[in-house]
Amino acid sequence: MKQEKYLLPFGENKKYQLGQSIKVFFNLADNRNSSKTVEYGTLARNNIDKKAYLFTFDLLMALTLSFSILLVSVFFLTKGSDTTASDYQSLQVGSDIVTILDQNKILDTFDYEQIEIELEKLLPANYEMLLRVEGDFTEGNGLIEVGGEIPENQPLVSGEKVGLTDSGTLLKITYFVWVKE
Amino acid sequence: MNTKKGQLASMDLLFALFGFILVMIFVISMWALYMNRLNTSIENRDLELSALQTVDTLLRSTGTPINWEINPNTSEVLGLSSPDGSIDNEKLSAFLKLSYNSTATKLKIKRFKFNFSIYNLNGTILNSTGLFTNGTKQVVSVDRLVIIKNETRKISFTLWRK
Repeated sequence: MKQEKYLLPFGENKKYQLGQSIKVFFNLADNRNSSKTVEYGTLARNNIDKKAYLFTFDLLMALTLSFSILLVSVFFLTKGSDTTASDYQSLQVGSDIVTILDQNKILDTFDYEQIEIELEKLLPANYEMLLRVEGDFTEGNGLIEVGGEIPENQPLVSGEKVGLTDSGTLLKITYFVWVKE
Repeated sequence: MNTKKGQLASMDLLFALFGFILVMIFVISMWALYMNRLNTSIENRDLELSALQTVDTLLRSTGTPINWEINPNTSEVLGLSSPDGSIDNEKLSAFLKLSYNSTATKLKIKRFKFNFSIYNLNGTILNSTGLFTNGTKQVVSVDRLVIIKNETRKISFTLWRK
């Protein structure tokens, strides 16, 4: 876009009021004699140095950049790890329950009902858990599942342990723990 | 002579200053807000991690030296586990008899306050050491299930800032 530059008639040693109509001349080589009438204030404001605006823009850009960096840093610091202390606590609940069931030889029975009764005794009220016991045993064709149903739209944690029964059967125990809604 | 040039430049400066100050106020307040959130988050994580690690150390390790319960004051690391993984009753008794400051120093949690309690599965408190919380904002409690003398017990370890 072509920018117009004006020459103010200041050389005439006149004083102008803001809003007063004055005649200005185009400072263009090909149109030196053209002129137009404008209001004094509008013309003057357009004509002054725009350094301050540039500095403000410069500052705004720098601040936007630095603030963006700060926001991104805060985001990554807070989202640095998806595993929270609450998840770890849930995992520990599952791990402790499996350890106690194993130490008390409850899993050795392969009795679905007994395992479920003991599981309910140990499980804190605000948690739900599914326990899957796999191994080379006849009950349930080597697979026992005790506990609640895995929720579809809820985060859960899971872990695995191995156990050995007194009869020498190796057990693979998988547990899923989630917070009750 | 143009006498208005100076006034117009001053107006421009005033506008720029006004914009600058507005932006600075916004930026400083946002900065303070985010720094506050960040510090709170860091403090919470520190508290949570300290609680989880302390309980893990207590319940999974035998302590250093391994027979520290004979002379608890010379112990370097406190641990309540026996070599088979269950809770050693003698170590637990020695731990409960230690003074609050000594326990906090050995667990390396002197910058916090703590409470260690043992419950049965019905929720009745059986034993406890440490202080009790009183309206503190940041509190982290870690619950674990253990076997003590062939009985299942719940250990609750609570940690909060001084």
